[in-house]
Amino acid sequence: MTRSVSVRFLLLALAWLLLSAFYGNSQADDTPEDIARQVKAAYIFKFANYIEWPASSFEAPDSPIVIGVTGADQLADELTRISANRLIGKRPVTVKRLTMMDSTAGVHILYLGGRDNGVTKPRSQLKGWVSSLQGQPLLSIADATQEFAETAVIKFVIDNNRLRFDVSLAAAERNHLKVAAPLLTVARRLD
Amino acid sequence: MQIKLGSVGNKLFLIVLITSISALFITIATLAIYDLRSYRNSLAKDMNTQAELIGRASIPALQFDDPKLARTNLSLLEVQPNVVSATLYDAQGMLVASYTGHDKAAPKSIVPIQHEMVDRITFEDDKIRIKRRIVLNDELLGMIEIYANHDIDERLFNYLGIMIAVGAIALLAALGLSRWLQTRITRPIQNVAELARKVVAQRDFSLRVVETPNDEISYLVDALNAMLEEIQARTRAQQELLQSLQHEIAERKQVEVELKDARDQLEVRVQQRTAELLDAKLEAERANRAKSDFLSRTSHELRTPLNSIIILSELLATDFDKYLKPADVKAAKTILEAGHDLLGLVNDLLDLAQIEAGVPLPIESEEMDWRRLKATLENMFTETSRRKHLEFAIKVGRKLPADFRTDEKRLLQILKNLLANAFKFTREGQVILTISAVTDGWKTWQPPPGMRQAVLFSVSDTGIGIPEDKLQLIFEAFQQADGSITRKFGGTGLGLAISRELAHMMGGFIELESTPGIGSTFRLYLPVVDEPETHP
Repeated sequence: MTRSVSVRFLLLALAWLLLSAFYGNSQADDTPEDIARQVKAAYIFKFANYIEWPASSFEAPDSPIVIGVTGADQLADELTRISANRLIGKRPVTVKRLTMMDSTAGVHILYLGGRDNGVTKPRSQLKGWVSSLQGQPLLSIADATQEFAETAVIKFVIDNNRLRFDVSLAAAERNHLKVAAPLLTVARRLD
Repeated sequence: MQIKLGSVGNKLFLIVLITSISALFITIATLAIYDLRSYRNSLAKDMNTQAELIGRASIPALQFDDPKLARTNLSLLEVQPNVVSATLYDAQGMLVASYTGHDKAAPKSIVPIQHEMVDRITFEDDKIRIKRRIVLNDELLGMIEIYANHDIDERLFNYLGIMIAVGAIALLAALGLSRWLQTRITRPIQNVAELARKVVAQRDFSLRVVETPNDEISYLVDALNAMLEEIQARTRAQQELLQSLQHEIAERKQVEVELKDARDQLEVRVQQRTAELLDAKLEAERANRAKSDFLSRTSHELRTPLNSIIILSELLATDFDKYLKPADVKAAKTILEAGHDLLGLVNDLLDLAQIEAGVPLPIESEEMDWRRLKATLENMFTETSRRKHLEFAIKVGRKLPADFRTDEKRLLQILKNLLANAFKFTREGQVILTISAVTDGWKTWQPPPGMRQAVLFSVSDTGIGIPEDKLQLIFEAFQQADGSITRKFGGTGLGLAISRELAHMMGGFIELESTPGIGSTFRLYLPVVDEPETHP
């Protein structure tokens, strides 16, 4: 981790502390930002229910579903917390923090956070990395606000103060994924 | 007549009706209960499946917090017109979405309250409420609640309608059936009843039921006919019995009349006989009295010349003996003795006549002089005893009552009779007179009331005695124990009879004790009464 990241994290923590003091509430999950993150983490976890990966993605019927998270450490923590001791079908869930440097092999769900992951790479480079992931059996998820989100299978959007998502069936097909119909009914928009 | 409701026909109708209707109703009720139960169960099952389906379809909406999608899912229930409302709750029991069916009458009040998360089916009046939890991978996601109409009541009413319709049909069927049964069962019974009534009214036991159906009623008819037969026979027998009884009664009455006549005749005869007897008795008494009168007159007539004879012969024997020859004096003495005897006999006859005539003899009551009595008797019989060589003694007791009053002349007469009797029947031995005061010792005497004590004059001899069967007889007038005795010993046989009557008149009694060959003892009891004046 770089120093600047630590500084940012420290600043953020300070701001959170100030905010919590301001609201006079010691509850950690009270800030809208926290709630949004929790909801997002829950959605990511629940998506696993509706996605069918190619059979080759798993070694065994009870092999874990691996969720990779880049550029969103808090979200990764949240996901780790949610998925602890829970199964999707017969599969447990493991959460990995990834950078652009890391291989995405064995990762089934990849959340591309908005933050730069502490890597001083230009955004264009990030976009390129994301595009390079196309075709892999990977459920890529990104906030719609991110410019690299175009190639993601699922894009989070805020609609009416509510977290919703769009599903790109084309992207899913590209990634050899099958999306279950119920998820599509919930999706705000299908591409 | 009977009450119409109680007739056999109506009873049959009621039986048929009740039987059929109850059977039908039980069947229909059973069917209805079974049908309603299965309907209810299948309804619950259907609605539960519906809830399950909608609940599952709502999983994404719950997972991804999409109330709009949830509402869309719930509105799928539009195809179920009986669904009143449906509500979806999240895992915390908070409302996510709700649906209100065509029936806008009962809109669900949407209040943000927490609902209990359960699987439950409840029936409320005409509604069914189904709550079903939505679970995915053991994770509770929420709950769906469906509130729907059910038409159990409607079905129930339908069944009631069927029941009423069937009941009406059964009523008609029962009417027809009972009408038919009436012709088969009731009419024969009515025939029997009609005949029974006729029999009672006309008293004609020869009537019979002719029409006989071939069932139990024919037994009834047979029984009735047999009964009528029996009654007829009995009635005839009774009439015969009655006639014979009446005949018998008439006979008895005849006999009674005859008996009464006989009794009346008998009574008349008895009365006649009684009157005759009374006449005879009066006649006899009159004759007796006449006899007594005759006797006493005769005695009186006899006594007058007899006294002259006695006085004259006594004069001859005593005062004129120095002028007469001894033979003449002896003859005069004989005349005197004979005259005395005759006088005694006449006196006796007079007394007896008076007694027999029922005329009470005059009885004096005077102070008794015992010494004079003794002297008189000794004077009277000493000569006789010496002549017959018999011992003679008079023993007078010392404690004789001083105030003993009696008729001395009559007493003397009795004692003279008894002693003369004793001397007459005694040839050797002794004659003893004992006078003593006693308070008991008599055998058959009934002493008069108020008697203090009695004086006993006991005359004992050692004569021939009297047989037991003659003891009473010798007291009768003109009786002696034996006809031969009169010839042997002489005497009139009047003495004892007179003595007994005299003793009786003086209140006393004579008892006799005798042993043939050894002797006799005559005992004269005379009562000593406190008031001397009471005794005449």
